[in-house]
Formats: sequence, C-alpha cells, structure tokens
Amino acid sequence: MDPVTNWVLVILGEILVSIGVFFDVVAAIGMLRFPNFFVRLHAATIGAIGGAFVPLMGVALIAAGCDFLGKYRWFIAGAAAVTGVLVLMLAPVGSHLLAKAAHESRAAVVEPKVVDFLEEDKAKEGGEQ
Amino acid sequence: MISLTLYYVLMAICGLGSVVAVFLAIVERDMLKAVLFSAIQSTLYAFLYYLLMAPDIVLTYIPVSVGLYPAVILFLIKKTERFEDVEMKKGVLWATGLLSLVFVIATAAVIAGKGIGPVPPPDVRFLAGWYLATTFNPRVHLISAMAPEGVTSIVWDYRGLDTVFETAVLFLAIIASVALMRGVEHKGVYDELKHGMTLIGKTITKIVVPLIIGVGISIALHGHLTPGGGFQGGSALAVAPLLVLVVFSKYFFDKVKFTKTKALAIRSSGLLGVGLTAFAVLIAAIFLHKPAYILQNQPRVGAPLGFPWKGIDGVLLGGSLLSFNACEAMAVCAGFVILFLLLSIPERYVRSVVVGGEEHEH
Repeated sequence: MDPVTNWVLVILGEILVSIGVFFDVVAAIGMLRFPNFFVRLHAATIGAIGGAFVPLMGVALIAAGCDFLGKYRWFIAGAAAVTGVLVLMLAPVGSHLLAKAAHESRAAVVEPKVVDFLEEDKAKEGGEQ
Repeated sequence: MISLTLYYVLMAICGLGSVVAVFLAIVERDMLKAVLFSAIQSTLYAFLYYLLMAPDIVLTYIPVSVGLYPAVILFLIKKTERFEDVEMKKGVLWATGLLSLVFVIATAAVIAGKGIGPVPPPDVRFLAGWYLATTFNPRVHLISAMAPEGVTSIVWDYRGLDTVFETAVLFLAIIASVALMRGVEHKGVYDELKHGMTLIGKTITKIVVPLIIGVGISIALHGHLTPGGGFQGGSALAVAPLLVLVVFSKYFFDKVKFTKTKALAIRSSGLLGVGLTAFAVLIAAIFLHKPAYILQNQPRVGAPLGFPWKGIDGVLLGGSLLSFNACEAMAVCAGFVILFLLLSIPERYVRSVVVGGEEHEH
C-alpha cells in the first residue's frame, strides 16, 4: 500500500489506543471510587470495552499500516480484530451474569440505591402469587 | 572455567543463604517477619533455579512462591494473629539449625564430588541442539521426526512411550472417578425457563461454543506444525461442554441425550486410536515381513517402514503425530466431559444414594 494510507492507518490506530488508555484510567478510578459492587461492575465494563476493545481495534489498524511486517501484518491485524470482537461479545455478558448472580444470591447489597427495578419486579411477582 | 567456578560459588551462596532464611523464618515469632524471611528464601531458590538453567521453573516459581504464597499467608495472619505464643526450646532450635546446615554441606559435598555429574551439565545444550537439528530434517531422514514442531515431536516421537503412559494414567484417574460414582444416575427434564442462566447468556454461549470447538480442533490437528497438540486441543475443546454445563445446566445434557456412557465410548475410542497408531507400523511390517518398532513414526536404520510425512503439494502431515494428536484430543476432551458431568451431580443427591443404601441395611 502507499505510504499515505499506511500513515493514516497508523495514526488512526494510535488515536484509538490513546482513547483506550483514557478509558482504562477512568475504569481504574471508578473501581476505586465507586460505592458498591454493581456500580464498580459498570467501571469494569468500561475497562473491558473502552479499555480493551477500542485499543485492540487500534492495534489492528497499526499492524495493517506497518508495511515492514510483510504479510505477517495481516496475521496480527486479524488476531487483534478477532480478539476485540470476542471481548466485545463476552465482556457485557459476563458482567450481566455476574450482576444477576450477585443480586439473586444477595452477595452484594445495593447500597447506596437510587433505583432497583429487578427487586421491584420480584416484589410484584411475589405479590401476585 | 572461571564461569563454572562462579556458578558454583553463586549456587553455594544461594543455598546457604536460603538455609539461614528458613532457619530465621522458623525461629521468628513475629509472623510478618517470618513471611518476609520465607520470601527471601523463595527468591534465593528462584535464583538457584535460574543458575541450574531452568528458566521455566523460575517463571512459575517467582509469582507463586514470592508473590502469591506470602500474600495468602499474610491474609491468613490478618485473619488470625500476628505473634506466635508457643516458644520453641533452645536445644531443639539449635539442633534444627545445625542439622539443616549439615544437610546442606553434605549435599554440597556430594555435588562437588561429582556425585550427580557436572552441574550444570554441559550436555543440556548439546541435547537441545540435537533436537533442533533432527526435528525436521529431510537430509537425515533416518534420525529425524519429520515434523517442524519440536515439542510435539518430543512428546509423541522421541519420548512417545512416556506420553502413552501419561494418557493411560489420566484414563485410569477418570475410570477411578467413574467407579467411585457408580450407580449414581441423576436425571431431570430440561426446562428452558427454569434451568440455567438468562437468555442473554444462553444466546452468547450458542455463538461462542462453535468458535471454541473450531479453535480446539485446530489446536489439535495443527499440533505437528505450530505450538499445541492433542492434550492442549482436547483441553480447549472441553471448555465448550463445560460452558454448556454452566450456562444451560446439567439437564440440557439429558435433553440432547449426551450421557456419561457416550462420553466414555468417545474416550475409549480415542485411547484405542492412540494404541492403534502406536502399533500401526509394526502391524504393517508383520504383513510385509519387515522389522519395525513399537511407536515407530519414521523409517529408522534396519526398520524401513514409516508413516507418510508429506502429502499432496508438499503439505506436512507430521507422520504419526497427526493421528496421535487427533485421538488424544478426543480422549482428553471426553475424559474432561465425564469429570464435569460427575461433578455437576448435586452433592445431596450423591449422598442420598451412597449413604441411603447403607442406612437401609441397619
């Protein structure tokens, strides 16, 4: 490919990686500062999507723009993209199931609480039966 | 020879230092300091392993025994108490210290007297060079394994017998667990809404399971070309049924009629495949009236038969390695599935079957 396209790919990739760094820092601060399990889980998901999926896509673009790697750049780019898509699919499911399990088993208390629809639904179901 | 002397001196310092650290760790009554001494001993051991040319052990030893282990102990100390209230007798203390010192000096004397050969053995690098030179080398076909992945070649060709026995050991372990759980049949009717996790989890599992199976098969069948092999591929494959077990519940297996017996059949046919591959060249040689070895892969001196190593268009087949890997992957995957199925039976149910029978007799 011509050098201009390569540079565009590399710079785009580096921008994505920088965004990933920002999200990782935000997620780390959230993990430390947020008050309860469910909100901290939200911070962890920020780390997984913003801090892993986005930079992985950036790595794929950087690899695609690195001519000196020869044909191997497509291996790196492909692997990074596939990993990114898997993280994008699996991280939200993982946090969803974790949150549900924690809520069902009452391992984590929702405190401080603004709203808890799941508990309200359960109370409604219990009332109907 | 200066470097070798330096080796010995460094090893002696590390060995004696670790003895002192262990002694202090035992004597110390403040548990926090004792953990610190224990960590110092671990660090010295790690360095000793490095000097003994075992970098792989160093890499696992440092995080486990310098990081994880003290962390666990510290956590326990936090839960209990920091100071030991039992005091050791002075005589016992000195005797322990003296004995361990004598032990170290005696061991050092044995090693210095070439009791276990030169340390570090200079042959190690020669052996590594030999493996690299003969793993895939068509010019010396009679001593080559003809597969470019060195580790798989060593596992299934150079020391194939060892791996066959390892497979047998794992098989026996699983047979033992099946025997322990004999008569325990736990079945239920799968209910899409009642059992397993949420719809979100189930949907994603449906997408991911084929991907895992694909990766597992590729690790197993590519084992003679890239890192991987039968055991690794089988372990990766086993993640798919484990995921189904966790997300869809055990009763899903009853619904698709995948029983322990079927898994056992797959496992046994995999093992049979490993056995047949081990004897394949020998069986062929008997019919062709030629000499051959057990576990023979490529032609050797005086034994001219062997597995094909090159397919159409020069694709590398890896000789017996490909067949070994495929069969081993089947056996390992099915073996793990059996274990998962057995472990997923509720403990209360198992106890009611096992203890229930005994109570009946009384």
